[in-house]
This record gives sequence, C-alpha cells and structure tokens, in this order.
Amino acid sequence: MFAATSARARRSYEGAMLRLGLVRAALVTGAVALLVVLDVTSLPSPAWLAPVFAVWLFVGWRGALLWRGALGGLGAGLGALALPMSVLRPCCATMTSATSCSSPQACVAAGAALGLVVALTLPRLRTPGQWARASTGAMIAVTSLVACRCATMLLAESAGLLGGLLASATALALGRAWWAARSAARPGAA
Amino acid sequence: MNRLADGDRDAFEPLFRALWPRALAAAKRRLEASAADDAAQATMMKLFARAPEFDRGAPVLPWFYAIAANEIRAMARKGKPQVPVDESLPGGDDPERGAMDRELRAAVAQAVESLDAPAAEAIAALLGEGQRPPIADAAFRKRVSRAYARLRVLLGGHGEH
Repeated sequence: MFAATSARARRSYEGAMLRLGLVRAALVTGAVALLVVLDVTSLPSPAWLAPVFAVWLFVGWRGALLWRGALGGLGAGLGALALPMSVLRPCCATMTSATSCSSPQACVAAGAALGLVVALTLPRLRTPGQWARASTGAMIAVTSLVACRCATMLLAESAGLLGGLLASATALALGRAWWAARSAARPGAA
Repeated sequence: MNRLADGDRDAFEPLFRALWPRALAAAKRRLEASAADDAAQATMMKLFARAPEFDRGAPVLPWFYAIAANEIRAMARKGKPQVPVDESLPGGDDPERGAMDRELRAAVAQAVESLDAPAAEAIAALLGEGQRPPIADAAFRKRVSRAYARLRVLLGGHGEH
C-alpha cells in the first residue's frame, strides 16, 4: 500500500510539475513570439519556436536550481533578442557581403559581456553540484534564446557570440563557485 | 515542502514518509479500514498534485489537514453517513434553514471527530457535553485554543466543494 501510494503520489507530482513547465514554456515562447511579431527580432521560420518551447518545458518541469539558473538566462537571452544589431555588432554597418566581416571578435566580445551578465545572475550557492545545476540551467536557457538571434546571423558571428557567452559565463560561474567554497572553508565562516 | 514546491525531487521521499501515517490515521478516525485507505491515498495524491502551488514558508500541516479533511469528507459522502444527523435540530418551519442547520451541525460533528482525543475532549467539555479534563485552567485554555485552531482549519476547507 505504501509503495503503491508513493508511486501514484509521485506521478501526481510529476504531472503537476509538467503542467507548471507547460505554463512556463508557453510564457517564454510567447514572449519570443511577441518580439518577432513586433519586429524587434526575426526568425527564419516559426518552427524555431518549437525547440525554444521544448527547452523551457524541460527546465520549467525540472524546476529547482535548473529553473533558478534559467531565470538569469531568460533575462540575458531576451535582452540579446531585443537589442538591435547595431548595438550587438556595430561593425556590421560596414559589411558589404556575407564574407566581408572584418572584426568577428566584436561578436565574441558581445557574447562574453552577455555571459558575464548571465553568471552574475546566478544565486549564491553552497556546493559545486548546486553551482553546476544552476549554471547548466542558465546556459541552456540563454543558449535557447540567443540561438534564435543567431538564426539570422552568419556562422562565424553565431559561433563567436555563443562561444564568447558560454566561455565567459562558465569562467565567472566557476570563479564564483570557487570563491563561495573558499569563503565557507575560512575559519569563523558561518 | 518548500523544496518540493520548487521542484527538488529529493524532498519527496522524506515528506511522503512523514505525512502518509498522518493521512492514514486521520482517515481511520472517521472511516472504516478500506475506505480509510482510499481516502488516505486520495489525500496524498491531491497533496502532491498541488505541491507546486504550495505557499512557500506557510506551515505545512494545516494545509495538509485541510486537504485530508476534504478527501475524508468526500469519501464519507460516497458511503453511508458516518455521523448520525440529529433530526430534532432547530429549523423552524423553514425547511431550507433546517437543512442548513443540520448540515452545519453534521460538519462540526465530523470536524470534532477528526480531532485528536485531548482536543476533542476539550471541545466536548466546553460545549457541556463531557467532563472537563483534570488539568490546570491555563493548560485547559491552551488546549481549547489549539482545538479551535484545528477546527478552524478543518471547517475552513468545508466550503471548497
């Protein structure tokens, strides 16, 4: 009786979390769709919204630290989607063709700045495992949204933006985790 | 509960282990064994299905007992009445008023039945339906206050259906 009830209660709980994930995913996907409708950003096809929905359904359903981390990624990701290209990569104004990009490092720098913002939004945590879960949530979340932005960019720009973002976010998150562990290990720390 | 509401699956097992015996005990106070098992199971399923809606930081047990009381009541309604209804209650000539009075009395009686023994004893003494327990005045007042708090929770859930 105990085991059967426990299993059924667990299924009820997962069902409720899945419904919560659906609501969260619908809200985020709706926000991206709204940006597209308002012509703030563009997507090659509405089908691009499907992977965004899937990613946010996953983080929304799992919840906990994955979701808390994803919230920071959401802010940075929507910011990247809403920022005009003239701000994200001002050097492109001089481009005359797809192969005439003269400074791909500008995209790396923009991605790195975005990554720092993501890493700074992570909550203060205790264990490396917690840092890893929250960072993963943030990376998945921001990548799902920045990928929409990259859909209309050139390959090198996309790689630069995403690479810079993931590298700087990972570096800062690791730094914060190390600092938190060091502070906790210090004598007299609470 | 806060952790589970946030999606921390590690909190499921200890919470289930802590609440299952309480659900079973509360149901067995009002229902026969097989119906009590069903009511306790329904309570646990409802509780965990509503876990993500849990108000973070709020006390868990009143919320849990409110859900349990609803499920036990629902189960009792499915079977034969568990609490005999007093047909001689005041209602005057108004049949609707009489029905409401009877329903209210039955709900209170059911709620009192689901209290633990000391709390039920205190309420009975207060209503003049039983002996006052041999304890100091301050202790009795405290016991009554706790019993009222439990009753408030149990009856507060009554209007949800």
